[in-house]
Amino acid sequence: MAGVEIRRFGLEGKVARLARRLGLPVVTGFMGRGLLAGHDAPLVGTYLGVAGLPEVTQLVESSDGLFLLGEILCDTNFAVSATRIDLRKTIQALDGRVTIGYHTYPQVPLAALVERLLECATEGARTFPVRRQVFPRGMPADDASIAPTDIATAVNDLMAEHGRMPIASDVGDCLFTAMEIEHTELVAPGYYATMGYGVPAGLGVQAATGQRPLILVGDGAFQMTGWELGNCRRYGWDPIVLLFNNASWEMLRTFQPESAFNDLDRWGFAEMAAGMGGDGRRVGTRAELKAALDKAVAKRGRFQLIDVTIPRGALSSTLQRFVAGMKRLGAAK
Amino acid sequence: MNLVESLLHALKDHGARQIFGIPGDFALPYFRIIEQSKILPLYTLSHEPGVGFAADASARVNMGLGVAAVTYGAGALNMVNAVAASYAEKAPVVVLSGAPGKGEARSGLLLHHQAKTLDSQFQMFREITCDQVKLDDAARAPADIARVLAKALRHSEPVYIEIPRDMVDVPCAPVVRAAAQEIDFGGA
Repeated sequence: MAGVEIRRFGLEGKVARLARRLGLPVVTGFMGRGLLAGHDAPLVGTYLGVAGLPEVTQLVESSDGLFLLGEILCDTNFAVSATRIDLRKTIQALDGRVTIGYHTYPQVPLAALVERLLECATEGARTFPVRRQVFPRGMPADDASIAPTDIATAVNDLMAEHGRMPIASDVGDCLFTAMEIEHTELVAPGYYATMGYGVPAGLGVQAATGQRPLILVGDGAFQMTGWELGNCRRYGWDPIVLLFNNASWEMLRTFQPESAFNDLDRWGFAEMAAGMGGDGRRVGTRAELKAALDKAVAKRGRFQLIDVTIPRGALSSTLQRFVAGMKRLGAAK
Repeated sequence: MNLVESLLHALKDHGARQIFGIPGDFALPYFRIIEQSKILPLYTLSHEPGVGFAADASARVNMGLGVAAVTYGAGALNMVNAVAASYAEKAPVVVLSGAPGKGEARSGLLLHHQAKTLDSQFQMFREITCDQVKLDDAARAPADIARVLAKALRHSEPVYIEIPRDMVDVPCAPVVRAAAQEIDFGGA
């Protein structure tokens, strides 16, 4: 299981080569989604425990030698497991040390470890056949209302046509939806889970790479930091922002449906965009979503805000699996 | 070369490519040097959480240092959550904060933006960064900066650098990068 440290220390290429040489399948955690996107690794998918694809969950939870390479041992990566993974039976390389069973070897930086493993691992005949994960494609451009999975499908269609874009995502169902989008570079606070990250992070991505980013953000988080988009014009930044607007703290509603404070007002974000130097469009049907995305891609030089009306209670397929899985786990306790 | 120029060259030398920030009165002197020296481009945003998140994302995508530049108190403390996120998720963000000058600290008056003691902010950031330094001694500054930036990269965690506002123009030697650590794999 490859974690964020392989990215932080610039090791994605080497880890991909190591996995190929050893003939080992690779997964990432929720936090590490987006890792190895541009590398030829035997990547099976994202481990999401009860919320994930059964074949990935089964592969990880039945492993007799789980190698956690730079993976943060946090609840969003592991608490979603129905079969608690026994960390004593794993190999953990993190924070500049390696732990195997009850033994810890300090002061082994990840880069040095991977380098040494590559020296030791000879080119073998072993390969692990990987069935590539299939992501939803072909969103019908019809008059149906929009569910989060439709947004993932529309983004997959868009990237197939126009090429991959880096994604900055906030937390909430927009991040679960990102799990249904083709592997591409992704920055998101998958473990710490602070709201308000997505929009400013997208600006950081464009400033740092020059690439036009896609920003996924909910209306609750947009209320916090969405206004930073007003700084795009003077720097020439032009992100495409998909605002998942269900007028709700919907993630909180899944945890505690009885609370009325989760009902937010519906703000006119689309109308505000013009005053902030961008273009805004409100969409309520899949046909409108498709048209708005096409227009946004074609228009460079101004931020493009697509204010997507999503009915309350409409969750991405991944979040539905997560909620159902957590309820099953809760009921079993 | 003055102290802030030495710091900016060191940031660039350690892989930083831009600075996100919001100034304030305690930060104006070092922001002036950021802008005039043009060593690294400066992007100002509207609210400090955004500065922290943008710097975090730049560190993640570029696999190098992100830089978040703020003012003392009202600025830096607005960014505590973002820096905690970077710490938790291991993004090497360098927090630069302006601070009262060494002379002001001796006035006996409480200073604006001061929470409890003048060092309250330093103590708060100690909890969410892997190393900290207050640049109050230009002779020691190059070695201190080298240590702090090396630790940010080695641990891939945030660090905190405080700049008293009367120190910015003090002459300062360039920063020499710390040597890489030796790794011992034992007898293998």
